[in-house]
Amino acid sequence: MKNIYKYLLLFVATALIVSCNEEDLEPTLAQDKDLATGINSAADLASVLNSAYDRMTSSGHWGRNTIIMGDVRTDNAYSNMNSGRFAASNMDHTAQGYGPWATIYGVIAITNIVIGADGASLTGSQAAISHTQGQAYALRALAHFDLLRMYGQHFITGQGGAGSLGVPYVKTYKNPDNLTPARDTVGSNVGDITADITTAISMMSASLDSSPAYMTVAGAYAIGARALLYAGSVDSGLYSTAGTMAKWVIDNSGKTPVSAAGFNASFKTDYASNAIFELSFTGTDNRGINGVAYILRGTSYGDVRILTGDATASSNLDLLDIADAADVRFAANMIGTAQGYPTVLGKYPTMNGSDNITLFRIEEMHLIYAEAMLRGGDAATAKTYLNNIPAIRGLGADYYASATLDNILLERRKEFYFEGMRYDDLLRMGKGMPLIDALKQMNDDKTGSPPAYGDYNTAYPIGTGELNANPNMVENYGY
Amino acid sequence: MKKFKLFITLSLLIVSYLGFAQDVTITGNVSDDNSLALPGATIIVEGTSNGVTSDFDGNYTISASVGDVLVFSFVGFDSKSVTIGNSTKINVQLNSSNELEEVVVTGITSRDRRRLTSSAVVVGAELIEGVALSSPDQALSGRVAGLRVVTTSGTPGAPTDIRIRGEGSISGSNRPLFVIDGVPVNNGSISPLLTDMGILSMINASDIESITVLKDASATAPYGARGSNGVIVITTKTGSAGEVQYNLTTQYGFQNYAIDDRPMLTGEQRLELGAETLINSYGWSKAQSTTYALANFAGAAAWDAGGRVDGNWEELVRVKDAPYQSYDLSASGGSAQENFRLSVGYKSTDGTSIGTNFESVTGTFTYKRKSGRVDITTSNRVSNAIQNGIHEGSSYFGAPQMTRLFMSPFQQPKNPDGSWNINLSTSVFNTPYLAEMNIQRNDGTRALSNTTVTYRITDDIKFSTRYAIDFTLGVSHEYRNPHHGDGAGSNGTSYQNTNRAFTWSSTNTLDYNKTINDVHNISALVQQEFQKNKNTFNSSGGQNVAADGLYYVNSFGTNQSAGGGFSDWKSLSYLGLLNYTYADKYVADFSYKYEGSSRFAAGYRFGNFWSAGLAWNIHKENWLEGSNIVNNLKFRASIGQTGSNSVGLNQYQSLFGYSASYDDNGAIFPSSFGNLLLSWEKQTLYDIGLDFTILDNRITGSVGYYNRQTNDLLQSVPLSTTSGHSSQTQNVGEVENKGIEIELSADVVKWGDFTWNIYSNYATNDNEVTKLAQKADGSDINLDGFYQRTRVGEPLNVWYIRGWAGVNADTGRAMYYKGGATDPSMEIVNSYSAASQMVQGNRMPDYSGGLGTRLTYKGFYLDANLYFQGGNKIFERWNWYTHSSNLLSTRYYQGSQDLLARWQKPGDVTNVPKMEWTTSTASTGSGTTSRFLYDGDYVRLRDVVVGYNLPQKWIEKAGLDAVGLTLRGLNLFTWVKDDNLKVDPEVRNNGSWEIYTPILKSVSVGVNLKF
Repeated sequence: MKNIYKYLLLFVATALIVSCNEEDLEPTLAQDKDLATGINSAADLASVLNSAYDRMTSSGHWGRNTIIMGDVRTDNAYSNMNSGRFAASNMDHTAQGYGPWATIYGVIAITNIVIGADGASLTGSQAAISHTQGQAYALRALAHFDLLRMYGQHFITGQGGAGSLGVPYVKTYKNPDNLTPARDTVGSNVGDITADITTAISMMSASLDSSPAYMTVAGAYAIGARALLYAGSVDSGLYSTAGTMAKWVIDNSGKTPVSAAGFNASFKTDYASNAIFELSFTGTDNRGINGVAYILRGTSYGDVRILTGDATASSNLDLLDIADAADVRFAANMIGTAQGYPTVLGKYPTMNGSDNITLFRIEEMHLIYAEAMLRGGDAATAKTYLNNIPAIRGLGADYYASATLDNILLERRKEFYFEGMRYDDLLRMGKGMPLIDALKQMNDDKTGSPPAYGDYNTAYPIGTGELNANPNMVENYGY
Repeated sequence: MKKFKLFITLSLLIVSYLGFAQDVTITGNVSDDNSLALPGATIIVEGTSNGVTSDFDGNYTISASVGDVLVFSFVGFDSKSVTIGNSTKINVQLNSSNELEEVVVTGITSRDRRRLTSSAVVVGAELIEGVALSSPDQALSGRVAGLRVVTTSGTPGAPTDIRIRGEGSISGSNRPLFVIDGVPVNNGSISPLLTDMGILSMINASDIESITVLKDASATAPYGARGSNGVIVITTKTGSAGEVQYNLTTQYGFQNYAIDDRPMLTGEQRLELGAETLINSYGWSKAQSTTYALANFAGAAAWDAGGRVDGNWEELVRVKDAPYQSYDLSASGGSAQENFRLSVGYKSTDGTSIGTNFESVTGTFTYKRKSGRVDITTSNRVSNAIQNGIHEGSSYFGAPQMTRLFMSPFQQPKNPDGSWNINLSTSVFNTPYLAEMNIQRNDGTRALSNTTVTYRITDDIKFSTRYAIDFTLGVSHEYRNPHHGDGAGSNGTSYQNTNRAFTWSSTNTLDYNKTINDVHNISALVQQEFQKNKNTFNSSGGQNVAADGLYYVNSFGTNQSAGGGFSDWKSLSYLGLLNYTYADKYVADFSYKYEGSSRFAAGYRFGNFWSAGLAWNIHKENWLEGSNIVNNLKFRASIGQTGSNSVGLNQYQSLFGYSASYDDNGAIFPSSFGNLLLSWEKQTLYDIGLDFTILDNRITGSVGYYNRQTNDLLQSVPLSTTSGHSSQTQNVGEVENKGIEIELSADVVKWGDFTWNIYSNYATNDNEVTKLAQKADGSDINLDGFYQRTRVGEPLNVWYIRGWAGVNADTGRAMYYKGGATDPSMEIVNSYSAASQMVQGNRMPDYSGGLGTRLTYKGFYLDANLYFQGGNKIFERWNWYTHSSNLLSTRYYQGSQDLLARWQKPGDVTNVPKMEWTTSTASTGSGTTSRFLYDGDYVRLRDVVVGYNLPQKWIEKAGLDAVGLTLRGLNLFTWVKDDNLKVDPEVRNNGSWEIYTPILKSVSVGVNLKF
């Protein structure tokens, strides 16, 4: 009996001791795959690029903040601090950093993985691979443009305009020599954006374009048009290229401005006729309470409201002041009230944020083209394209008597309010932030006046974490 | 030649054993030095497993052979050996021991304390039962020098967080390893949703025999890989020989907040301060301002019209005198050959936050059988715990404790008809309503099984094999109603998550123990262990419920989503231990461990860990032996290297993750930067100490010095985020922890039946970062955050915020110190943005300890235990709302009554700035500054217990063996050094006070019956 125990134990013990070695410690990779061997086909490459789009939909970026910050700092909106969010509307940024810096570089990292992939070694259609890589170039340009307009020093007094500090333009993924890049100049950034757009257009093929939820040839042109119109403020030679690109989209994309009757519905509809590029959100993939609709009118999260002022006390007009009674863009299904505050309803109609968010639509191209023509001296063409928009909104054929920068700015405000463009439009036209209501805007300096053009705090600070990790990084002026 | 001698000796022993098998039956009685019967004494035939225990009257009967040696032993008494001669009746009187020959369980071995080279602290069962409100490790607070227990929340079932000798890791875990009956187990918590339930809360305190805390190199190095933060060894109760004895313990008590001293503004006060913002900022008149505030501030008009009755939110979210009760029944018994213990336990606790409670049931079975040379032991325990929790940990609108701080008194909790008011004109939810409607439940099941078979190959060599299972099933369910709160936007939401963790381990041990010539004692052990863990989780959620009364995801048909995943880890180790003792005077101790972990890349998986210790029992030297002044004196020193693998799974690999999607298509993303060189975090430990017992065993204690050098830290080194990654885990950096530890216990009075004992412990901790990752230019990558920073030459995570310089008596505006990262300037500036962050003090306490006393007289006893710590600073983060001199405290949320001291006119000297019409905290003085940083020193009366054991003669008639009564108070009194700190100083290890259910105090009565 004793011997049986002994042998049994020895057997068990030996079996266990012998059976264990280093290979037994290999972990299971059930959800992940090794990076070096993870991309094998055209489909894999497209799936990788999907995560760039996915990152763009985060709350910190186009899923909410980038849109809200484009309006909440302006004369369109303010934060009533209902849930303590967007206190930054008073531009009290500290040196800890602000904005979607890391999120956008996360998008750029994905595009660089796609661009860096050896397309020839992958299975699948080479044309499709080229198209995917072209999309990556276009997204990389858009991402850097978004960084440039948030962190670039070009509008800050005394920083040197086009020669001032832009952002690092990152073109490689995990390149050991470029893990701590220095900031390029604004001019250099604009050049790289232009080059990436050019490359994107050359690599993509309109015949392979998918839905507007993915980058298309027209989308690449639209990015170029917006970025170069903006960059025209530091290098006026770029306006004409912006105009050319916008005109290409108007002529070749097949997109048309939505009608007055269809205006409201276009925001509920995915892939409306005017949509050039939009980000996809669905019933199960949305930002929910951290989305745009909630911050505009959620009962507990509705912080960002339309900024209304006392018309007699201010020469600056608020959003409601500029509305024509007949304008569908200000109709009751577009602007109403929530919790007693004037609020945008129509542009982000579904509370849970399952509507796609359109980043580029054809109406913008008309106004870009109008502005480029005006700045190029062709006021007549400018007037035509400017008036295209009020006309289709049902306000009559010759709404504006003349094409002026003020009229273009006004029309852009009416068309694109709460779409995140107002802030850049004011700055690139050399304007500071208008004062509508000091009690609501609660500007931090107690002078009662919002930031002027050229103020240091019109650009976000670079975060301390980035400065600590990257010896080549330089903080923005004033922080 | 020696080997040959050994062989001969062994052979002779075996032959002699076989040769004298003439059975006789011996009877007799065992008594103590006062001739009182000793029930439960063990009588064993030396060298065999043949043994019995004495009965209740001290009588025994045993079969043996003439010439055998009977060994009589009993805990606390010197053993006695008697050789069987002609007489079949042997009565024995045992003398109580002068020396405490304490056996210390280290999880791997059990060893006589004299043969230890480390300072293991053992906390016995009597200190654990009853003290452990929700988790047994709470009982360690104040009992062990250098060990700090933080109760993370007063919500029942909340996990605790323990630190031993400070913190050595920057990014990795600083939690000690938990070992139950020799097997490393999962600790941590089940917290897939917004509430935490500690896994240890599922171990019934009444089933614990002792908890040993291992701190030194020579004690922790055998745990090699996972021992660097100290080891907490839990030993569970086993059966004892003798008749079956039943033990019933019940406890019933009430709980309240331990500290609650934060009055919030009344409606009238709020209106006054709110109006003042307009007076100060815009020069309005008081009447005009008050009218405006009443008309425009949410809820103010209705409050005014309704007769200015404040909403009684604070009362509604608190449960006063929340009851708790526990019942434990155990039975144990057996013979020398086999014994068993089984127990069942039930515990139910109501929380002090509305909507919380905790209920657990446990069952255990332990069985031990000796059969010839084979010993079989199996210990099994299963428990189920249900926690109804709440949102806590931050300012969640649905968190009851948030309501307490943030809800406006203008808002009315109920409608005039008595129903809940869910149309509040504020963001803060009606949490009493949510507590009634919503479900937030963790349901955890845990099973631990541990079976060991030991085969004594010879009397000196044992082989044992153990198979252990640790299974945790965490099921969480959250239902948010469609009418109000977080679920309202989606017409109700429901989530169901399941986490399963299964760990098995197999251990083979060869143990050699031999005393040669009565002076050379050798203990050696070789062990191989393989541990494998697998985790699976499933999660699901849905929105839009069809009707009230439906709570599970199936009834939430819209936007249903599901997730699931799998992960695993494995570890393999080989251990060698050698302990040599010469005449119990000189002790040398060595350990070596070779351990591999799946968390690192092939080639970097294995680490070498070792220790060496020396001890000198000075009292055994001739010149001290027999001294009544010095009864016990031991010098000990040890050095060793331990490790830590506390890094996320698969962090070494550069991986693509597949968990994302875009446009309902899969999206692939790089999930980790990867580092193929990743390996063990290592730690070198030095210990030196003196243990003593002096003055006729009246005073015992120990004094020691420790030094922990943690190096090759598993640090999450920040990367430039331009890389698309925020950090990479690297083996870089060094942290040093050093300090002294003192434990003392003195029997001040021993006078007949009256004894008075005082015990205390004290430890210091000096923490310093000595090396960090560096940039290419050779400068350090400093870890500077918004609240804290970590830099070389400073402790880990010191407070790094702006300096508060008070309120300008002329203007009423906040003032700051200019500050700076290095050489901070104390120049006063008037704006937050003109000031810079500066170092403001330590997050971790630099001293901690306990002080207790115990009085006994006949059946009465009184035990009281204080815990203290200090040298740290506590930051009250949410004061940036509740102490803001602006609209956040008066219009949108709620303010503390501290605001009543605000500046009103030039010349006012106060620390509270004037009220202003803004929501900017930075411009009105409640930004992140040292204004809300308080001294963390406190003393807490942790535990007071008064007990009475009824005299034997009273209870015998009732057929009972023992009856004990206890009255106990926990956390009854707390002294806080800083008058401005109004919240509980027992904060989480990050140093910040956060929104949790406050720590509790309780009073309970207990009854213990043995029969």
